[in-house]
Order: sequence, then C-alpha cells, then structure tokens
Amino acid sequence: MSQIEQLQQAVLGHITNPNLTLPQKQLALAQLAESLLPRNPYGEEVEQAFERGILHDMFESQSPFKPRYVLPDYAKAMAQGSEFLELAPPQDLDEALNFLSILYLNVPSVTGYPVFLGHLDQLLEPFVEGVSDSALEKALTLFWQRLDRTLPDSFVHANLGPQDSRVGRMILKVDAKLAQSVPNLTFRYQEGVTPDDLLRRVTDNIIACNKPHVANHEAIDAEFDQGYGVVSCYNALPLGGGSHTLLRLNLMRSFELCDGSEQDYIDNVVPHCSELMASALTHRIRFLVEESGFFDHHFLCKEGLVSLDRFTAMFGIYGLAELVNQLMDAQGMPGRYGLDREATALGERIVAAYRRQVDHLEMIHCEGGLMRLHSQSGISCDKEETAGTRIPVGSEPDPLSHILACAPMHQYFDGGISDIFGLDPTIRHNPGALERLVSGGFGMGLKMFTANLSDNDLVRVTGYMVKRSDIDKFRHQAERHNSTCLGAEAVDVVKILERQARVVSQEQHPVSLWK
Amino acid sequence: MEIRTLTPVAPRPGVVSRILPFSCVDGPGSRLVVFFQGCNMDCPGCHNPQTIGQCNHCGDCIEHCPNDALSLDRGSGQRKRRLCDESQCQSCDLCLPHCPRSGNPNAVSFGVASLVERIARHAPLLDGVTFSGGEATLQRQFLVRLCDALDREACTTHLGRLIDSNGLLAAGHWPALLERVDGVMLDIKGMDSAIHKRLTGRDNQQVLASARLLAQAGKLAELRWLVVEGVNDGDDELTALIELYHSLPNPPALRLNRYQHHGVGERGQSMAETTSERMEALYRQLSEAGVTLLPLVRL
Repeated sequence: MSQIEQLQQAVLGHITNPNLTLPQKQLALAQLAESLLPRNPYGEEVEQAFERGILHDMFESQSPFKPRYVLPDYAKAMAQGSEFLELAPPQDLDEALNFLSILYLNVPSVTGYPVFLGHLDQLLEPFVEGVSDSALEKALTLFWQRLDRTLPDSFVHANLGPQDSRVGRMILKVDAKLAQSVPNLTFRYQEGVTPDDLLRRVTDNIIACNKPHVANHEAIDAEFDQGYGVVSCYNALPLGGGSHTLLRLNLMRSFELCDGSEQDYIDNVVPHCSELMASALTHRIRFLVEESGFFDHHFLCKEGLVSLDRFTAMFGIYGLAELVNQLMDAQGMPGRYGLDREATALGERIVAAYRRQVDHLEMIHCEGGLMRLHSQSGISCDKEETAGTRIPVGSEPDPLSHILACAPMHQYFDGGISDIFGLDPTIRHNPGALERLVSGGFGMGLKMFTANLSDNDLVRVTGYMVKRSDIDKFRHQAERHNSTCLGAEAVDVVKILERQARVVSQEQHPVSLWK
Repeated sequence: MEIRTLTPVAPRPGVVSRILPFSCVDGPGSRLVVFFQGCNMDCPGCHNPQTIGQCNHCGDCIEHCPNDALSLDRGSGQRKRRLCDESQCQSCDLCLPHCPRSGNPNAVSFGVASLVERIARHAPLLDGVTFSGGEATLQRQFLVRLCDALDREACTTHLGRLIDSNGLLAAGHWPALLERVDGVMLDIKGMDSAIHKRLTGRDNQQVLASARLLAQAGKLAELRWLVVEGVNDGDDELTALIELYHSLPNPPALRLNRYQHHGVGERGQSMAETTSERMEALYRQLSEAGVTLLPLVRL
C-alpha cells in the first residue's frame, strides 16, 4: 500500500470508529495531519537517541505551531476585556463566568483544550458581594458542568487558594458533589494563610472523590518571580506564560550508556544526555518561536495575556527507579529504589546531578535563559519504566514510608513533580490522619500531595482523573471525555482497577491516541 | 572486706513482632503502631496469632527461611539462641507456620534508644503512637522507659500515646503506665466468664476490673467488642454489656468489630464470620440502649 493509501485508510478508520464522538473524530484527523508534517530532523546524535528510546518526544512534532502549555493571565483579561473575543470587562458574576467560559474555548495547548483555568477563587471573589450562598452555588454548579461538557479533557486544571474565600469553599462543595473527572483541581496550601478548617474541607474532598491535589504553595511560589499555576497533570509553570514544550529523558534506557558504575553515570552519562536534551529542545523551541508565528499572531500574545518572556521549557525525566535498580544490580547490591535507603539515596544523587545540569544549560526563549526540571508521569506505552521519580507500581510501601522516601526528591524539581499516595478506604473514618500526612509531608519538602482512595469511582491516573463508570461506557460506545480512552487503555494494559494503589503513567499522545 | 558492686544488669529490651509505620485505624489521626511480641491470652479467633507465643529457641523455624535471615546461635552446653538478621529478613512470614508456639521467628529486640529513633524518623508525619501486640502491658517496664524517652526527645515529645490492651494487667501496675499515656483502648471479648474463657482461654474478672479502673481514671479511650456471631452476641451478653457501659464513669465510645477469618489460625476457622446484618442489628440495639458507638466500618 502506498503512503497515501495508508493515510486514507487511517482517515477512514478514524471517521468510522464507533468509540469516538464527532469532536474526537475531528481532533483525530487534525492530529493525523500534524503527524504528516515535512521532516524537520534533529541533529544526527539526537535522532539516534530518539531511536534508541533514550529520548522520547511525547509525540510532539518537530515543528510545533502552538506551545504545549499556555497559562493566560486571566485576571488581566478580566480587567481589560478582550478585543479579539469582543468582550467587555465583566461587571458581575454572570458576566465573569460567561467571560471565562468563552475565553477558555480559545486557549490552545497540546491537547486542544486549555490546561489552565486560572486561580478561580481569586478571579471570582470580587464578583460575589451581594450574591447569596444558594445563588453562588447554582452559578458555580452550572459553571462546573459547562467546564466538563465543553472541555471534556481532565488535563483541564483549575487552582484554588492559598487564601480563604467564599468562592473557594463553594467550589470545593460543588466539586465533591458533582464528582466529575473535569476539571482537575489543585488547592494551593500555605500554613498560616490557609485556615485549618479549610484544609479539613480539602482533605474531606480528597476522601470523597480523590480531588483536589494539594500544592505546597510556599515552596513552589519561591521558584517563580511572578506567580505560577498548576496545570495539566501537575506541572507548575509561570503565570502569564507557559511551557513551549516537554521533552523527556528515559533514565532506564540511559543506563545502557554507562559502564555500570555510579561514578561513570554521573560523570559522563548525565552531561551527555543533558546535552542531547538541550539540543532537541532548542530545535523545537526555535521552530515554535521563530517560524510558526504563534507569538506574533495569536490574540493572547497580542493582548498581553501571555508573553514570550514568561515562557519556559520542561526537561522531563522518568524511569529513575529502573535506572537505580540497574545500577544497584551492577554493583551486586540488593537494595531497591524507594524501599531501601541506600538505593533511594543513589536516586537522589542522580537527580541532583541532573539538577546541576539544568542549572547551567542555557535554553533559548526561556525565562531566565534556563529550563525547568520536571518529573514526568509517563505514557501508556511505558510498559517497563516507572513514572518520573516514583516508586514502581505495585511495590509502594505504606503512605508514610512512601512520603519519607519520595519527599527528598521534590526539592530538585521546579517544573512539577508528584507522587500518588494510595490510601486505604478506612481513612474515611479518620480524616485527621490525612491532614497530618499533608502538613507533615509539606514540612518534609513535599511539593505536591496527591492521594487516591482505592474505592472511589473517580480514579486517579497519574495526575488526572477518569471515572470507572465512564471506562465501561467507553468500551461499548463513544464517551465524551478524551482522557477516558487513555484510562481505558490503562485498565486493559496495566489492570489499573484491579490493583489498589496502582497508578498508570500517561499523558496525551496525539497520534496514537485513537485506535 | 572489699565490697564488690554487682555489674548492673542491662535493662531488658522490648521484643517487637512488627512496626506498622502508618495506621489510621489504631486511634485518632495518623499513627505508628508497635506490635509487641507475647500475649497472656490465647484467643482461637486472634487475627495475628503469631504475636501470642514467646520464642523458646527450639530452632524449628530456622530451615524454613528462604532468605537466610534466621540462624541458631549455639552457646555452651544446651544453650541456643534464635537470631533474626533484620537486614536479610524480607518479612515474607514464611517462617510463621513453623513455630510450634504461635510465636514470630522474625520478631526483633529493641533497646529503648533504637525504638525511639525508629519512631523519630516518622514523627513529622504522625499524630501519635499506639502500643499494641500481642499484649503490650506484658512489657510494661520497657513501655515505661520508652515513654519517658519519647518525652525527652524534642521531635517525639508531642506524639500522642495510646495502649491497646486485653485488660489482664493487675490494678497495681496501671498507674505507672497511665501517667505516661493519653489512654487505653480495651477489648471486652465476653461478659459471661464461660464465654470469655472459650474465646480467650482466660477469665474476665481482671478485664472488667481494668475497664472500671481505666474509666475511673478518665483513661479509657475506647471500649471494643469483637462480635462473634452465635457465640458472644446473645441477649444475656448484650444486656450485661449495656449494664457495664452504663456503670462506667466517663464511658467512652464503643467500637464494634466484626469477627472475620482474615489472618485467623485453624482454631478460629471453626467459628463462623459475623454477618454485616448482625452488626447493623446490634448497632441499632446498642444505640437504642443509650450506648455511644463509633461508626460501623462498612466496606
């Protein structure tokens, strides 16, 4: 079959796929077209690294025409209105919700849906004076439904906190009541700013529906000059900017490049792989910024809601556990990453070495001229590699030991990191225990706290959610949410629902998404 | 005549069956639980029977360890000592069935300092520690020294402390413990002494006396009743339990636990698991009789 015939078959496959809704079919076609871009190859060494599986391109093309993640300054938009969208600055709650709903439909990202919805409590609180509790609840309930039905992708992510607010409390109430997989939600917590009873509400929500994530606001904010948002799974990125792209380094595979000793790995492999990463990132970012014209023409840029000088790029790593375990094996040592102190300490030394690289490698068109280190949560094709710097699936210890093992890694990552702590449902009767884990964990340097109770209908897959009931529906008919098909794949490939604390590493991969 | 001072005997270590770094079911908040080895009851329905027996170094378990963690150290004469190498032990528990005394070959001896260190490591993530087992009060002298050491250490002094007990400790020994812990969670296995003996191998006089003593001292944190349907849930038992409850000063909440076979040895398999319907019915009956109950764990 010629290439054009192959392409035609692929198109036919998508448009007749009974498991896809119409918007999903159209998205699939667009992504298919994108995958057919003329080759814009990386340098030879980098191409080889991709082929060997040492670098992974997250299925992003070599010629990206939109940034991977965009974080518009929604507050600014609401203050000045939008010329492109022909919207005046909102004056009351209805107008504010209407404004945001419309704006969201026009924010690009790798998934086609906005990965950041803003610090909703801060955005909306100015508009709720004189609005009764019941009216506020109704307005936010309708808003929440609108988000789920118009942006059906659970990488869509809203933030709350750290301060207290009527809107924040009401959103928590609505989110637990509706238990939708969209939007993903993070509460940014800060001791001394967030009242104790609000933390209790947050942990009650986690127990009810495995949402929200809790972010260590003080620790993360310190790494950003002008504010940050938690987006997509759990990436922390500059407000009013975003990330051009994400490229990830397969640490498990990188072991092949060393002689089996820690010394050789740190002295030689770390700098070598970092250079490969930098070269590939430069290639992509250059096309996006200098050729695609995104930053010159897109209305978000023209209206000052995002600006190039607040963009960064993510240097992602994954498979740390497997790298460490291979190094331990090579030394004849039995310790395993995350479970034994020696092995975990080795993991930390490796991460620190990559941190030093990222601190010094210059990157074009990035804030401060530097990239951000990101603990990448994996993709459904990762059969052998554990996500990011996590402990291998199925061998996680009790939540407390899990936190103790993983907390030391968090300090090195300024582009987002998260571990998912599996909780036994008995914690429902003892919510104080969860509060203690959150506040104690943050005290130990944890940047994000994400939990998953095994018996909730909403199941955490990496950093986003799917509903078990939606997965069954997907099998038999089209299901609205794009992210559900990933969840279904996870159920089949890794039997996510059959193992309690099992989490699957996934992220959107445009081309192979629709089967 | 020269008086020689005797070499002071080193204080006895604590023998611990297992440490659970995180539990949300052994008291309020996030807790670390120390399961002490050895019990003075012998319940057929015990769900961790390997905590009952004390090792007598017979050595029957040694060959059954797949990780070479167990060894028999031979001294002079007939002296033998079972040793478990913690660094080799994988906690697979394959040795457990081979102990003829329902003991735990991978139990570990702790000095106070090393147990405090173990607790300190987890302290920022804990609200408290619970001493369980086995029967923790059998090692009361160790417990006293342990609590004092936890108080002295800056990072552990804030941790709450609870004891999980079967109540067989004599009255005179409670005060030293009570001034060092926040409370005691007490199991009532049966009100009628024959039923109690069937379920535990011991009489319940001392248990009931402990319940009263602890309640009087305001240190009865929780009363627990393991419901074994058809054995200890008859009308007479219920009436007696309600009477006991109402006779206690400062009565705590009552926790109803459902008898299940998980972890139970052969002897316990012959008693049927309690049904959830029975639990719901008892919960209602007790509530109506004015007993304050903790929510039933419905999973």
